Amino acid sequence: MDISGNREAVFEGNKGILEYNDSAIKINAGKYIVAFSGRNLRIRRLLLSALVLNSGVIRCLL
Amino acid sequence: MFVVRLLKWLTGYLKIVISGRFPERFVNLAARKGLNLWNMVNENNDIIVFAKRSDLNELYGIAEKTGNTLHILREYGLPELLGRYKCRCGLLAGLALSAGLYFFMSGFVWNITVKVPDSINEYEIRAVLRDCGVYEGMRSSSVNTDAIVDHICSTDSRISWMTINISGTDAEVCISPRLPKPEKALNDTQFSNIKSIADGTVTRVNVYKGTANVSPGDGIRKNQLLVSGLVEYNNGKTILTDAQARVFAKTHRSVSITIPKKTEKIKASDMTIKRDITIFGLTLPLSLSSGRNDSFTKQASRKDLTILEHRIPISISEEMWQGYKKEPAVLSRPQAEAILKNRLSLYEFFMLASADRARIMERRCTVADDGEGFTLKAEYDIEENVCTKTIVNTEINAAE
Repeated sequence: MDISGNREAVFEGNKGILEYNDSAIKINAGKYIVAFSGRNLRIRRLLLSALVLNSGVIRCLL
Repeated sequence: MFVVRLLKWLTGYLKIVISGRFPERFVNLAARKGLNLWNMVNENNDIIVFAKRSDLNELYGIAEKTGNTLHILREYGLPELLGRYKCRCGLLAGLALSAGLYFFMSGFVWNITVKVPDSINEYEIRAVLRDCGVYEGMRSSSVNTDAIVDHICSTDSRISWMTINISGTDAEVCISPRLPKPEKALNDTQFSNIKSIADGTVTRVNVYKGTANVSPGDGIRKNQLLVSGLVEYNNGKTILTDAQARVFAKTHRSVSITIPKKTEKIKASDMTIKRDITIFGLTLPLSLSSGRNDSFTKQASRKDLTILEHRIPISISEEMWQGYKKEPAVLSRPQAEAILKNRLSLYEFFMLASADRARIMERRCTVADDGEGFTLKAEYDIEENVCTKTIVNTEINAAE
């Protein structure tokens, strides 16, 4: 997982999006569930096992 | 990045909205199938996302499988553009035709600019260029500019240098005039005397180099030695030099001008104006009038149309043909005197121009009527520089 500042995050090992709304996203990462919260969350790119997130401010919870 | 965007635009893409109970399931399935989704946002529990147009059928299948509904909000790219204008075949045909016409017309020269010095007439050069195959509407690839330049420079002695530059649909012709050869200057090894060119009485003598043989008040004859190039010094030494002097003398000239009483008067008759328009090298007449066969003077002018100071291949040329008629007339004495006065003025102008630093000291004129015509006799006393340089041949002297 790469986080650039508090604006962008690149997450690899995505096994599926569990929940998605404009302020939070929960991603299934196998053993863990990774949650990102922020304002106006946007999935800029969605690939088979990776996604790129954009937001006003991003916070990550494991 | 630009190439990616271009490819997306060429293949087309969609903005879709997925609504239902679990739109996340739709997104997961689409990602697992390797479908490309980007710029996904959630709005009121609906997911708005961009997808490739070619993936639409698969996306519909996934939406059906996951119990979601899929709506297309907007289409982007070339397929959408073509679909929008599918019924407007004329527009597409016009676009293709104008593009084809643009490329076809780019192969021709539509604008020829001729830059000539004042001593050479532009229209004359344009006529010569047309004869050589350089005209508005010629194919730019078919012209051999070097051969044309060589031909024109070799046939027209007034031109020393010329170039034809073709750039796109513009051709620029630049001409440089041939300058006269400079007079050969005397060098230090040449020696000369100064002789008189006319009979007269010396009024002023200005000697810069040499020995004066005349002084003011002396009478001189034509070819008389005025200033000698031989200079004797007080110590007895003698040298030859290039004599330089101005010797002014009062000379006499006379002229007689005769005009007949019965003459022909030239009167201006009607004027014919002929206009033509030239569009892309094709000349079309704008008036039905043709040229004249009687005596006439022709004045031609050409107006090139420009847009934003750039000449376009449309020009309007106008020719004014002024006709003249000759009518018999008998001159009265005042009329004859006026004509003779004009001719005498011309004579004086050329006489003074041909002489060096001349001025008229006295003029005596008489007009006589001899029955058939009028004769003007004029006598002049002129002060002028009567010097002419003659080279002394030193080789003969050396041989002696």
